[in-house]
Amino acid sequence: MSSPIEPFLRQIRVARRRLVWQAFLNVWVRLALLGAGGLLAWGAARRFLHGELPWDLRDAGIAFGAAAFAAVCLALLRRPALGAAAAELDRRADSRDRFVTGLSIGRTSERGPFAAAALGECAAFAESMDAVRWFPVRLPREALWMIAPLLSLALLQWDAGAEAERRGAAKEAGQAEVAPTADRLERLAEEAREKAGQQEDPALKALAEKLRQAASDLRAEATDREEGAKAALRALSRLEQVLQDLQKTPSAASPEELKALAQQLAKEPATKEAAEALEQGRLGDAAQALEQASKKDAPSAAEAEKRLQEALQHLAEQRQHSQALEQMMDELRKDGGKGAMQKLAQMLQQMNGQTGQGAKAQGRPGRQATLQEMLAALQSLKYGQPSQSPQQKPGDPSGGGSVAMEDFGKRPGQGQGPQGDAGRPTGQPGSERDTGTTPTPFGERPEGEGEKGADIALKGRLGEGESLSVYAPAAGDQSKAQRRYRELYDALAPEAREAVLQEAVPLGSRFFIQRYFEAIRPPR
Amino acid sequence: MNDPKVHATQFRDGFRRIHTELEKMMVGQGTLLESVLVAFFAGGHVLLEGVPGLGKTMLVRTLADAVNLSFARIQFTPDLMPADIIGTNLIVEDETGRKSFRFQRGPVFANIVLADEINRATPKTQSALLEAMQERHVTVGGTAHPLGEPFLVLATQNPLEMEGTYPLPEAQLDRFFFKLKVEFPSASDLHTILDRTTTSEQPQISRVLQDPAEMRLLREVVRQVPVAREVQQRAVQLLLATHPDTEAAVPLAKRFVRYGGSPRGAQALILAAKIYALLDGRFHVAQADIDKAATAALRHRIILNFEGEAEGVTTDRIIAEALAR
Repeated sequence: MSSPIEPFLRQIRVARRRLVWQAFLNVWVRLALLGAGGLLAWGAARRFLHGELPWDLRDAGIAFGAAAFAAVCLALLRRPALGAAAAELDRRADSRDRFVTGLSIGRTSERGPFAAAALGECAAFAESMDAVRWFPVRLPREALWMIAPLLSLALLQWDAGAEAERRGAAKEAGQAEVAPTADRLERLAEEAREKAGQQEDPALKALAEKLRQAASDLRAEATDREEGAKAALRALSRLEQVLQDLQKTPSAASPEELKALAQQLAKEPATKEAAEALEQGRLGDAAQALEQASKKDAPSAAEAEKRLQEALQHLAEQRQHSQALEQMMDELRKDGGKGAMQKLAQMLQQMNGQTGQGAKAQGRPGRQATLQEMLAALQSLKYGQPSQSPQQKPGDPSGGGSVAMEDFGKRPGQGQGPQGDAGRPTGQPGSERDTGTTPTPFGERPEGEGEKGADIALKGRLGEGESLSVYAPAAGDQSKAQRRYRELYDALAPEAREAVLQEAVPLGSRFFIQRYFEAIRPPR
Repeated sequence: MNDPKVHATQFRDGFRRIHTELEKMMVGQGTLLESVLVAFFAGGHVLLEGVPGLGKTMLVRTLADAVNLSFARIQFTPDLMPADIIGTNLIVEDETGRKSFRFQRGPVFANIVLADEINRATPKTQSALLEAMQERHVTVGGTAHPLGEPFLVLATQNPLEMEGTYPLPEAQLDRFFFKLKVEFPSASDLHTILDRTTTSEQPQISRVLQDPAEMRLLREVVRQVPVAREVQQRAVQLLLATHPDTEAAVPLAKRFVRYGGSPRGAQALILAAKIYALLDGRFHVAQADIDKAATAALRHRIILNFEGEAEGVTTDRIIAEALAR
């Protein structure tokens, strides 16, 4: 015999199951909305702060999976009791509380005639209805709101993908930009390493390592074409400075200084011998003679000391001190002006030693020659001229390019601009085309014109700045491509004007800058 | 009580037939008639509130005719004495010349009593009726005299003329099962009234019930209808919603009510709901049945505070808010 509440339970369980499903969908959609919002915030942070793709399938899977899991848990936790489900069924089906009453009366053991009749009537009603009809399971209305975060995420993803593609292309362009320079630097590093091995020179070995490191850094820094060009220019400038520092030798006293000192020493008998030796360039003998004279306690020696100090003072007033003499003067000042002859003797001894070393170095000329070759190769790279290293074969495309860095300042040991461009200024006075037709070098009146400038000194050294040079392919007669040059000038003139106007350039120097830019301004 | 279906059908038929008879005399007051009959079958008394001339006396008289019960009408006035209602002991002399007291029954001993303008009598007189309504007997000279069964009091009061009246105390109001408002008839209803009352043809009222025993049987049927605890909870919830000090109180009750409905209100709700269920052809009570009886059963049991009176808040509004929850 079946339970009297079985007809009710059947329908109530159906109702409860569908209520749980609906609760799951409601909670899931809301949690998914929250998850999508969080994913959007996370994706935006990744996209705009770190430049990464905003999300991937794993992130989305985690977000929506977690939302589904939480929704299942919440829906089961909120599963209504049978009585509550019966009340909800009565409410939706407008069954006049038949399920609640049937459940209540059916659970009692003693029932009067009216209760039994009521139970029977309710049971008949329950069996005649289908609870599914009253509990449709459908997505809540809030599900439509999912469009907003999903669309935003899609747009963010598309934007990030486009940005990544653009960056990739820019990096490729940058790598292509620096590839010739980096390859060339690596070849130079290899050559330097070979030379270092042949000459057993640790300085060349360190230079090779620096060249190799510079090539590696250059490839890493080239994130786009422009940055690649700048990075190449910086690397070449640094290496050029390194080579120039390696080429430097300590400066000794100049022949003029030695001559002036010899003349003063010749005026006293005690130092006459030293003066003669100095005059004849026998620095070691002069040093010995001075040592001996300084040890003599004679009036002539004291007078010679005094004359020597006056001569040094005189040279200082004429600003003709060499590095060696400057160092000697510093030591004299520390000692209160005493022992000038001894210090001069030491200096001459040092100079004599350096001369000996120089001769030794000349006996191994490979280092200087290698450095000079390296420097020439670097400058070729920097100025964009296809130069050939001793090992480079003619026609090697890596030796030059259409775009190269150029220093418009005076280059050490050079003083001339690129060869074969007669229309461009060489840095020598009188080489510019100074037409003087406009008040500013750029053809317009500058802002703040007429204001009094401040009297300040320029910082920096001549020839250390960076600049960009573009070689415009021209006709076979080596003439300048006017149109391309004009485009280049128009593109770079605003930057140059901003730099000149923002820098605290003294008025006198401004004239020269104006004349220079006026000279290189292409004719209209 | 062998076959509930038969008894339920008898009840429903009896109710409908009485209702039909009443409608012959009362035009456009279907809801009022149904509520009066509900109170009648539930064994409760009814307080009718309405302006004079709406047929209240006619209603009671017709009801008495239809159910074949005795009827008495008492016009309440300020000088009405309790003895005028319940009766008094008279000195009578028999054939042998012996004198003795004999109880002379008052009008309250009828089955259906119309207490017209009950608020015009003094509280003393009102309380005499109060005992009769609740205890179903009157006590005169130390002797209790039971009233007839069934016993129904239909009291009326005029909501407009308040001068020289004695408003019914809360305790007496609580004795009434329902408080019903007699609405003014519509234009079409007025036409019907005029047609029926200004011609020579008078509607004939048929006797639906033949004796009081039949009436008692039908009342017993009502009390057999079962109520599920979850459904009964609705009556409790409604009642508590009118009490300002309970958590279930509605906002209006918290602000404007001094005292909420009494437990008699919940009893009235359930009893009335059972009758509505039977009339609907069901053997069980639904929450909708309770809701249907709520306004008439609770409106006179809620006592407004001063702020409520001043704001013109009605108890019907408070009950409506409780029903809407």
